Amino acid sequence: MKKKIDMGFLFPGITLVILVITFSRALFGIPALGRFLNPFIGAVQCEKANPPAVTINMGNKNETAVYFDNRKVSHIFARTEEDLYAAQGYTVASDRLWQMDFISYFAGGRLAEIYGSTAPGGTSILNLDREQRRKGIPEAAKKSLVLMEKDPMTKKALDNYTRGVNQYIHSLNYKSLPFEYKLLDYMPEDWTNLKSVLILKYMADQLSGYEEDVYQTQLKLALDKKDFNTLYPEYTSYTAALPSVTTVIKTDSLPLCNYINYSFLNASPVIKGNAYNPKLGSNAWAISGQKTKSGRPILCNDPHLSLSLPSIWYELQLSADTMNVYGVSIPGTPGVIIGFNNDIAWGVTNGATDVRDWYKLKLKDDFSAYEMDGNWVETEKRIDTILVHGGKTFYDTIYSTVHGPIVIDSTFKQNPELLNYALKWSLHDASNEFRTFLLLNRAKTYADYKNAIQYYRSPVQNFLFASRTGDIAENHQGTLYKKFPGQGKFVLDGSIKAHLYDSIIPQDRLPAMLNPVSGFVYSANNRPDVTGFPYYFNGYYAETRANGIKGMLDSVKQATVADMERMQLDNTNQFAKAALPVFLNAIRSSSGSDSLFQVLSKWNCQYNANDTLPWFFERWWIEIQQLTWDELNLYKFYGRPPDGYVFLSLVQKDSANKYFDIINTTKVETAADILQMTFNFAKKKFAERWAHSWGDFHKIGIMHPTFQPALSRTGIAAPGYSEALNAISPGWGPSWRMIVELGDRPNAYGIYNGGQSGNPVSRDYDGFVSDWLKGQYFKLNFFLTADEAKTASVSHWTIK
Amino acid sequence: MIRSVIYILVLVLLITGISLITILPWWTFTIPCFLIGIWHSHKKINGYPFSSGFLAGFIVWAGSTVFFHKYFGGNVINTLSGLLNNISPVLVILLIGAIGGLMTGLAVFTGSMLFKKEEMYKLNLAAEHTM
Repeated sequence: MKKKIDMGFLFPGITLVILVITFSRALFGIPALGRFLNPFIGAVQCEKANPPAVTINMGNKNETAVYFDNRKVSHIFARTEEDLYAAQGYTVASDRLWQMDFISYFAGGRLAEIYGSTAPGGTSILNLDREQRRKGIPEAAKKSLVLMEKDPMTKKALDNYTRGVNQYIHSLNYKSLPFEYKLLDYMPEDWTNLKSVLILKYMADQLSGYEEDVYQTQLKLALDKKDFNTLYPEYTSYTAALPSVTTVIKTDSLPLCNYINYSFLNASPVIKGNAYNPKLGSNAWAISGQKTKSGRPILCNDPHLSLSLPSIWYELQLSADTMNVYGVSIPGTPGVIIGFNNDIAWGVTNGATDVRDWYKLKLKDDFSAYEMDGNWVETEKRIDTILVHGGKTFYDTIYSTVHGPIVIDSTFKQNPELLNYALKWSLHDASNEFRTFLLLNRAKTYADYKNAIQYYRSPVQNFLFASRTGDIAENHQGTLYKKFPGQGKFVLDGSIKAHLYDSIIPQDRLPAMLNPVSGFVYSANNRPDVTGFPYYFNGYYAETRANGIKGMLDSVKQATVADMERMQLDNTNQFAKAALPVFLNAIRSSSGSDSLFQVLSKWNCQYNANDTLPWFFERWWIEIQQLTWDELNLYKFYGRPPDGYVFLSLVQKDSANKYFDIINTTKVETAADILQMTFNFAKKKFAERWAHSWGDFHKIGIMHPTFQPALSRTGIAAPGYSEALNAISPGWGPSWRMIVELGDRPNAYGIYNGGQSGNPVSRDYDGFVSDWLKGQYFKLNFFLTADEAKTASVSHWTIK
Repeated sequence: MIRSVIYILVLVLLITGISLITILPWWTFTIPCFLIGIWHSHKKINGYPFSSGFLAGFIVWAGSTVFFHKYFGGNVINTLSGLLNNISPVLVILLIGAIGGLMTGLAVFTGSMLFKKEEMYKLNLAAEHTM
């Protein structure tokens, strides 16, 4: 039979080709299914665990061993720092490559390169990118990198870390790619030192982004001087570290600005909710040996950050000839950020001091120049190129003045209240925070610690320290400028040179404490103790947790690690603890015999998941604030009510204050009336919901950066509260709980809300979450030698 | 019947073997399936080229998914089901199997249709109908 081509094959053939093409590319947010669902190379292969022993060839002179313990914590034992940081880069990348790569894209304003201009949910990715660039994050990272690379120690760490990450990236093929690359259908690019710095700046941005400059200015204009100082004071009698009155610099008057007048108030648009969370804070304290059972200092730290999966922390031990340190690192950056070594332990909390200031400019219509002391000064112009996946490249023109970039202009109106303002932010200054951590990792004494933290510049952080030899210390550390009273708290005039500042407060004048007689130091984003500090500064401080810590540490004797665990896990709403007796006292005469009153009067203000009273208190407190501050609610710009402690002071000292009067009643109400009315109302609502526990109401989510529920853990009933030491909250909480008792060998415990692996289909992705929620701790395996590590390891790698 | 089973088995082994060479593009297995299709028509093998191919591809893709899922730890299908609007894990496996089946079936069928063999084709058709 003679063979001829039968055209009948064309139909199935073409169908096949079309299917191959269709399944080979991501369409409409759906990954390339042919690859993604292929069982031999696709998503299914991502679950594969690391084999028990691997040899990795990196061309090093010496062998480096990476031992994994039963929680998959890596203990890296290298000879030289070069080998150590290369191994850190490789190891972290093998667990967290996508996460660190993603954050570097986000920080660098490059997400559109992956996602296109709009995400499937409708979020404008392009605007996210533009915002990062316009507020100056990538520029600041580039500037800082130049400085960092001039420092041999930092350069060595960054170069080798990058080398390690790239070694891992180059070993990948589609089959071994991390899950998210397959899901989102792109390949990792090579790692660079700049990407590490971008991650550092991302953290700095998260910790220093909150501000109220426009809001405070509006309030200052709308309220009379006495009311403003009463409702939004710098200090209350509840301020945890209240300095002697003589040193407090008050901001009684606004800076002289010809534009801050009532037309400013009327012209200001309503301010959108702030994207930053002012509660990204932390708890930390250190107790000297005189108050501990062992006679050795104990240091505790739990930074409250956004709860994410993969966690922002990666736990590890780094050992080389020059150091042996254990703690948590931030994926994408070398060294350990919070941790301990054989001699010292250190922790960090957010300083909460305001480091971002806005200058209202007088600009020419074409942005070419701005007025300064009567002269026109040319603006600087930069055109940023934003690559857009599947779309046209976007060119963004960004103008800058001597103050900083003009973030919001007519082409980018994300926050209209800041239209044509320039942003001055200490994050823009070139700085080398890596050096702080690299030096801390090998520090042995208080002097080493002091030397290390001086390089930490932005944003202002509180560093806490304890040493084996018995020192404890606390430092409010960072770049703080000399400012006139009120400078930076309110918007500033960009057309007056006198409103600029450039003189930095010397390091040795910054608020600091070493071995206080109390036997402890603490910080929970409260105002630092500024006794003797002669400079003005402002910030967004929280005093409730600090008061709780101070109260507990005052009474503690013979403290043990178990006591410290109980403190970190304490669910007492510290505000309720102070407020409830005051509230109940005010309504005792009319509601004293009420059964709910009786229950409340015995309540310990615990916000445990199965408690029911937290719901009542929350409801009561919301109602109280609404009725009390109804006058403020009339202002279209009204955003944040005065602090709870302000209310409490008023009830106690000025119960007939005009703000207690409800504006739409004829009667003149007092504090007691407000508390009684709201008590009755909340009680009625509570009766309808009596059976509901705090856990039913207080659900938290630990979210993946893509916000995909399948990759996140959502709807978790959780104990804790933002004003409790255990500050678990719907979007943030104690992201790493650490307790270190120093001694012949550190006795350390810790846990974070995730797992070592960033792989969403690995059992190590969220393995710690339930223990974290229950308040369990893991004993941290700090090994003195590689042999110790080897004995306790369940698998290991050899890097050559 | 036995011939059909052997035929499907050959396809299963072939697809698995090729797919295990993971550096090749994901669709490489369709090429030998296409060749098998040609051989199929040439050798006057009884059986439906598309459905035999579909079955073989389905078995390999769905079967390997279940195997790797169980072998590696047992999480991935649940995550995929979460990503696919929470459809049931069984549906996820069926969907994966269907993709493998469709590709294989089409490849074999295309191969079997490549050359004119009217009489044989008729013969096959008749055979398929009487099976």
